[in-house]
Amino acid sequence: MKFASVKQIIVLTVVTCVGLFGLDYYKNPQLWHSRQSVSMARPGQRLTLWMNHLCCLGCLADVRQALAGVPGIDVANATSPKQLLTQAAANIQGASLPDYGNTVELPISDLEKLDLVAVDRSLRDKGFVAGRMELSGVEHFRLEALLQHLCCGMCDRSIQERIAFLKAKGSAGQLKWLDSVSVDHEKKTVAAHARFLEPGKTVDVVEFLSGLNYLGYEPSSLRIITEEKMQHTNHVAGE
Amino acid sequence: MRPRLLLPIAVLALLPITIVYAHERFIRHDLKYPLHEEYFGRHVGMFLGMQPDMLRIGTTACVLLFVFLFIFFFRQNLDVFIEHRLLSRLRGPAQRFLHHLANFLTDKPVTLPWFHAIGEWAVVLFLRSPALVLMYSATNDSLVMPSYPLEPTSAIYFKYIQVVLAILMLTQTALPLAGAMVVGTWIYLWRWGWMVAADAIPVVTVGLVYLTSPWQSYKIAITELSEQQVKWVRLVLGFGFLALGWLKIYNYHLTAGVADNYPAVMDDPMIHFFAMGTNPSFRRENWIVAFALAEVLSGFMLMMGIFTRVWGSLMLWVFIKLMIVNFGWDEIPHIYPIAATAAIVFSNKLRTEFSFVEKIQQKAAREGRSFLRIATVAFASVTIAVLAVYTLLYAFTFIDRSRL
Repeated sequence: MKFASVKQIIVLTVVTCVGLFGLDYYKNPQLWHSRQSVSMARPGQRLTLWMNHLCCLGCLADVRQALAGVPGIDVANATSPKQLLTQAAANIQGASLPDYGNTVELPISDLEKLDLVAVDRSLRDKGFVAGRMELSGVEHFRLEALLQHLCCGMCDRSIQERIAFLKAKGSAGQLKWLDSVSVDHEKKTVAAHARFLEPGKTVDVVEFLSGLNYLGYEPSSLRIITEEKMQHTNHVAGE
Repeated sequence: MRPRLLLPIAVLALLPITIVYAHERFIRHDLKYPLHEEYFGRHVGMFLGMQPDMLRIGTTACVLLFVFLFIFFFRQNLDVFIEHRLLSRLRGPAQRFLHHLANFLTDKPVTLPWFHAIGEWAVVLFLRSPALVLMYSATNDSLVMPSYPLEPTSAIYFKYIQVVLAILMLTQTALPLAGAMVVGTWIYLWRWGWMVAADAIPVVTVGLVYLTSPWQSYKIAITELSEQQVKWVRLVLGFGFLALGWLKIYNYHLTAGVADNYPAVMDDPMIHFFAMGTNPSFRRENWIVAFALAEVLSGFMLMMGIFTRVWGSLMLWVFIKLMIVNFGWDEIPHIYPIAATAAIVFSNKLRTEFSFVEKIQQKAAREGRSFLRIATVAFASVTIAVLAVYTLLYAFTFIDRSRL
């Protein structure tokens, strides 16, 4: 009987392993580069939209058109994918699945005016949904959601408890950036206090929006309050 | 080792570093109610800084392990005492039955034709059942196990690879190649994180048996494993269960999520035994620790060869119950660990990794040093039990896993 030698075993195992990694890398580039793209985020305040469907220049034009009227973002200087197909080419060419998804990077021109619900609605009105809305370049901030419905103490408590529960439940690391949640019953606002955001890292605000939706709330606005603004508010409140 | 072999080994060792962020693949757990997160953390002022219920379950597991180890190290003497003193007056079928039962319980060869036949059949099932699991996964767009879904863009390739591997297994063709493919696939699973790879350790067991099979495997009927193969199957399978047990405590949200979706799994007599005397207000948390330590103990005993057949039989019972009663069709891939465990339980080539303790004990017996015998066995049993149970249980309290 002839048995496999150690050398044969190692070679066959390495070939299998390298083959599977190679196949995965070749067929699923979006999975391999997702983190890299996050860590390589450029400095400056930016909102990066990941669109699960952004396959051709026609899609990009519609996205730009949808966001044109949204205050706080600089659509004119948006960084979009370089090698998108034209509509005509997309009609005749069978693009592979990963090519359907792409990112659009939007410089934030005025953080105070930016309403993330408005961004989301504008896209939806045009027939798009952003899979992720990643905020970067803001070190200390909180997200402040305005909820029309906060009728009783139970509403207040349920939001705090259930968001904490969602965070604990997030097997994929959702809401990892979230430090705490506070509810202002009088102003009807829910504030999500973010942890220090390291340069180059991002926070996906869709996680918070989806969390509120999951709890049964639809915010009418979602704004980013920065550290300076928070200190100012505290100072005024202290006076 | 030859220098030219070092490069591929170095490449293999570096592969885990290339793990990328891919949360899409993680097994989702549907936790329905929040857990008491503080239960799994540090408790100032408590012994070892552990939650009292967790410490209690750990102590139960430790004492149980100690008792099993202590008895096991005296198994030769107990066997002689029972057969030649207590049962010396028995004759005929009753005597033979008790002799075989004692051999079964103490991991000695059971020389019964039907036992040998079941053992042979278990080996055949063990060598072929992975093919069924691969086919099942392929038809469910998964890799190796249904819990690892494939990306749509590459699914078709991985599915065909699994089918080719399954054909090699079913036809017993080029088994060393099949073994290399199994081990290579397991290394590839590191790409999705160390917890996924740890979850799939039992898969490596059959890979090692394939690797040590002849190239012309299709020409022969493999119905028995060699002593070395049995040892490796026992070590790797036992280590796999041990790792899975610790993972249940480490990633406790996932474990609780399973219980939330399948509440029947919480009603298990063995787990109730581990959790006895604990605070019912921490029922789910206690269940997680008890369930995990039951698996840790089973895995450890199997790995080290302590009452392998007793613990293997208990594991067979638990796996079959989970597959048929608790989870149903979703758990059909459990056929593979059932087959692997059955191949060990019905093997007549079982050994223990702690044979040196038995040898010291028997040497002391021959020299008539009774105190040394008991002291050696007691010291070894306590040391092994404490290290096996408390080390990681204590270490985990320092790690915040609430955001895993």
